[in-house]
Amino acid sequence: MSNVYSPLLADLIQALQCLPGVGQKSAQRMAFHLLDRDREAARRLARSLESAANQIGHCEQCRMLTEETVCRFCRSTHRDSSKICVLETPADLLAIENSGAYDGRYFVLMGHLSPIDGIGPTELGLDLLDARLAEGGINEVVVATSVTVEGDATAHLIAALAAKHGVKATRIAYGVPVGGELEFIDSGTLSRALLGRRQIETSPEEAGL
Amino acid sequence: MSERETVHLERGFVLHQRPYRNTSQLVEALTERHGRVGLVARGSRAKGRRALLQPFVPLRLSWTRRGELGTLSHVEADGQAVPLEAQRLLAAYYVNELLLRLLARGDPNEAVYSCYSDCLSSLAAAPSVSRVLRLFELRLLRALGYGLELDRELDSGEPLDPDGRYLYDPEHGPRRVRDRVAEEQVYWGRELIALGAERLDDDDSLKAARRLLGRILERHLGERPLKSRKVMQDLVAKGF
Ligand SMILES: [Zn+2]
Repeated sequence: MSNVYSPLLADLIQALQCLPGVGQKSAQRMAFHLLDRDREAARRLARSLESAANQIGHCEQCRMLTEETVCRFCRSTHRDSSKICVLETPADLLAIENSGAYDGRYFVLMGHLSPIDGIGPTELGLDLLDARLAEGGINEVVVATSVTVEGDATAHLIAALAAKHGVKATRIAYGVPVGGELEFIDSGTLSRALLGRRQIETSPEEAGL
Repeated sequence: MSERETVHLERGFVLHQRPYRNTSQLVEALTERHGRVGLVARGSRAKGRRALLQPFVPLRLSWTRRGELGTLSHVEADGQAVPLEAQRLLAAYYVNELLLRLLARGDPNEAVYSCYSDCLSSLAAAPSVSRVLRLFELRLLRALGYGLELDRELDSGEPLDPDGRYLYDPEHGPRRVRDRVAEEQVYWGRELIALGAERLDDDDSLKAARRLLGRILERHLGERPLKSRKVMQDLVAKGF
């Protein structure tokens, strides 16, 4: 395979395969596209990767990926500083942000508890979260870890940490997706949804109708 | 070319999984009749199998295999997830890591499987986590053919004396000591007898069991420390 292409081309195809979901075939397609069709985009991509890899680190307050010392979510003066939402990845942060239903602060674990992989409280930055809770001013920790054994275990740790500081911990509710038909939902999701059921609120006038 | 193996609805548990080539997952499972198997779950994230492919959930797994790794073709639940909380969950991860380190793929051992599934149910319910762990370690070693000699003294062949003091030679067994030896290396006969009879009801026999089993396991595990143990220590150090 390697002798079919010139060394630089072979290198590029190899390098592109570091991306998740990209194998030999798609790497080839990407390389040809960049070199053949859009040389300028290729240069832009190279420059952007270079500066991102060199300059982006973690926000020193919430661990979100950013090239600034403190990210814009932590700097913003319009957000509710009494709530802090703890999540696993930057992608989860953007998902919550895009929901428009949350306006508090964030904390990104960059993973979840995974004892067999050696990922514990230190790797998840819980010392930093501990310090933020110790500063005071936070009265709710919203735990938004994934609904897996590891996500649950992580949620447990966060709740214990919150309890230590006398702060209420809540877990975001999971259940039937909007537009979801019950018969197509797996039993695990349904049982979560049933456990997390809420009273349907009706106003007195409505009830009288 | 090796034979193609096709297995239908085999009982098993996920021990661990990690991302594998593009969008797949490599699932390490412990199964009842095929031992530890490495199974590739293709695009499992997208297909919603991820919800099922979790540790500590009794599963039925189907796969085909030619060579080292199999391809998972079907998975279904075979009961509710074992309810494990906090400390018990960490203990269960330790048990999984122990199995990953001590079991090779393709070495069927039904005794290991029943040892494991008993251990999970006990972890969910039994009052003492450390007692469950010690019994699991003891039974696992036995199932793997590394059983401990806990009945007779090595040199004399006499039954152990409850009030005798012994050194434990990890290769062979207990040897009576009469001279002065560093106290931390000595086991009372009654402690060894209790372990052999799986009767770890008091603190002293539990501590002795931990000390002895730890030493034996270390020999089989080699230099590389267990990661889950490091995480557990980290949690304890941070006050969780
Ligand atoms: Zn930040």
